[in-house]
Amino acid sequence: MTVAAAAKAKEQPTLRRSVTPWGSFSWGYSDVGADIFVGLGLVLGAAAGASNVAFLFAGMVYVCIGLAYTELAAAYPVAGGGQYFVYRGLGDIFGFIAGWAVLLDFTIDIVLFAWSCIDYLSKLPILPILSYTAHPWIHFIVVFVVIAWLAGLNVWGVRESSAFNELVSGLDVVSETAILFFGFLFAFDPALLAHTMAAAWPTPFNLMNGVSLAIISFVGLESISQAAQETQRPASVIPRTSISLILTILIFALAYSNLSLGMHTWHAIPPDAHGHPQMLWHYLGSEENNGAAVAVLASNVPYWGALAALYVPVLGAILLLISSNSGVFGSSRIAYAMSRAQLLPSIFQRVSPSRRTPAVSIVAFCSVATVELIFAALPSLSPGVHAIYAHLFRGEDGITFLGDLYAFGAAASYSLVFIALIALRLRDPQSPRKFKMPINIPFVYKGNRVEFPVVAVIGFIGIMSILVFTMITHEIGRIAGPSWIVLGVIGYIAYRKRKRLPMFHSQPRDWKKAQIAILQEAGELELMDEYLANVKAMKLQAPPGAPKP
Amino acid sequence: MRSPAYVRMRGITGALLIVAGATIAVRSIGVMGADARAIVPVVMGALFVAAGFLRVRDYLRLRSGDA
Repeated sequence: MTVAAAAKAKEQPTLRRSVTPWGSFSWGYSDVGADIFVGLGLVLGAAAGASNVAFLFAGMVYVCIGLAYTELAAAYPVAGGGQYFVYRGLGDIFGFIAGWAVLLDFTIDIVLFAWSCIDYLSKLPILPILSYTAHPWIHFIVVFVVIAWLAGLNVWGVRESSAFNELVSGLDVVSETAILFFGFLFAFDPALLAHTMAAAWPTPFNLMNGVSLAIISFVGLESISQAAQETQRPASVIPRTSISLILTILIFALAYSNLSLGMHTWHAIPPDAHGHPQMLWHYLGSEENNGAAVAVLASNVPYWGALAALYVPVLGAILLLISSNSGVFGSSRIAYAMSRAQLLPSIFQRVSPSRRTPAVSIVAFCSVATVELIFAALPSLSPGVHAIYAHLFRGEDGITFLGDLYAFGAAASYSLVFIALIALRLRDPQSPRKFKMPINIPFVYKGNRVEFPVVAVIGFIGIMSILVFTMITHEIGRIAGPSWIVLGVIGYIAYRKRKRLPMFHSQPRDWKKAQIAILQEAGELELMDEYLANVKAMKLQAPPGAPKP
Repeated sequence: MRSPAYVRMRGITGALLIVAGATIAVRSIGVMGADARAIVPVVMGALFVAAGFLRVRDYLRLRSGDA
C-alpha cells in the first residue's frame, strides 16, 4: 500500500467496534426471538395438529443454517454476512443475488415487524385507546412513523441502538421463559398433545404451507453476521453467541408449538364464528388471533396468565419493534458491504463522518421498506385494490404478502450460502476456522487437504425443499419474489456496464491481502499469524506450476 | 469476573432445565408410546436437557475459576 493510499484509508470513516458478546446475541435474538410472535399463529392456522412438526422441520434446517453462518462469520468477520460469503465463495453475480435477496428480507423485516408491533399494541386491554390503531389509515400512518423513527435512531449510532436491543432482549428471554415455565408446569398434557396431533393432522399441502411459514420464525441469524464487523474479537465471540442463539430459539419455537397443541386452557375457549366449540390451537390460528397468538396463549396459562394478559402485548410489541430495528441495521450494513465490493453504487458506502454510521444506506432502505408498506397496506386502504388483490392473489392480505416475500428471500439467500460454504472450504482452506460445522469428510483437492461439510449438503437440501414449498403454496411469493431478483439483476448489469466492470464474471481480487486486512481490523492477530503460516505452508507444499493459493 | 449470584443462577437454571427436559421426554414416551409423533416432544425435551447441560458445565467452569 502506498503512503497516499494508506493516508486515504485512514481518513475514510469505518464502522466502529462497539458491539459486545451480549450485544451480538441481542442483535440476533431481537431479530429471531420476535419471529415466534408473528409465526406461531400463522403456522397454527396452516399446519394445525402438525404445527410442532412444521417447526421441527424448519428448526432442523435452521440449525444447519446457523452452523453455516457461525463458521463463516467467525472466519470472515465483515459487515455483509451471507452476501459476503456468497460473493467470496461464488463470485460477484451470485454475491449480488444473495445480497439482493437478503436486502429484500431485511426491508420486509422492517415493515412486517413494525406492522405486527402495532397489532400487538392494539390488543392491550388496559389502554383501549390503542385499539384505534386497528383502523387501516391510522395503522398505516403509525407504522410509517415507527419506520421513520427507527431510521433516525440508526443514523444516530450503533452504540445507542445496541443498548436498546440488549435491554429488551434480556427482558424478553426472562418473560418467554416464565410463560413456558407456568404453561408446562400447570397445563401441559402429553395425552392432549397426542390427541390433537392425531385428530387435526393437516393435508400435505397445508403441511408444506406450514413448514414454509415456520421458516419465518427462524430468520435472523444474519444479524449476528451483520454485526460481525462491529463486534469486539468476532472470531471468538461469534461462535459462542451463535450457538446460544440457535439453542434458545429452537427451544422456544418447539416449546410454544407443543404447548399450543397440548395445553389445557385456564379459561374456556369461546366458540368459533359458527358457534362450534374449538380447541386452543384453532383459536390461536384463527384470523381473529393469529396476529397476536403468543399474547392469547400467554393469557390462557394458569396463574401467570392474569399478569401475562397485561404485559405480553407490550412485550410482544417491544420485541417486534427491536426486530424491526434489526432490519434497519441489517439492510444498511449489507448495502454498505455490497457497495464496497462494487455490487451497488458507491453512495451506499458513505459513512457519516460525525456518527460513523452508513446514513445513506439507512435512509435508502427504509424508503424501500416504506414502498413495501404501501403495497401491503393498499388492500385495506382501498376497496378497488382489495378487489385486484382478491382476483390475482386469492385475497391474501397485507401481512401475508409480507410473510410470503420474507420466506422467499430467506430461502433463496440461504441456499446460496450453503453452496458458498462448500466452495470456500475447497478454495480457501488456509483461512483459520475457529468453529467448523460438524461431520466433515477429509480429502485432497488441488494438492490441498480440505474437509467436505456433510451438514451443509443436508442443510441445502432442507432449505431448497422449503423454497419449493414456498413457491408451491404462496401466490405472491411465487410472483413478487423472483420479480425482485430479476429487477435487481437488471439494475446490477446496468451499473456494472456503466462502470465498465465485468457483468457476469468476477473482478480479480487479492483475497489473501483482504483476509489479512479483515483479521487485522478485527483484532484477531493470532488468527492472522495462523493464516499467514497456512499460506506459507501451502506454497511450500504446492508442486511447481500449481495455482497460487 | 462473574458475581457469585450469577454463577449460582447458572447452576440452578441448568439443573431445572435438565429436570424439565427429562420429565417432558419421559412423560411423552409414557403417554404416546412408540407413536412416531412422540418424536417432537422428545426432541424438545432433549433440547431442554442439552441447554441445561451447557449451563451446568458453565457453572462448574466458573466455580472452579477457569473462565
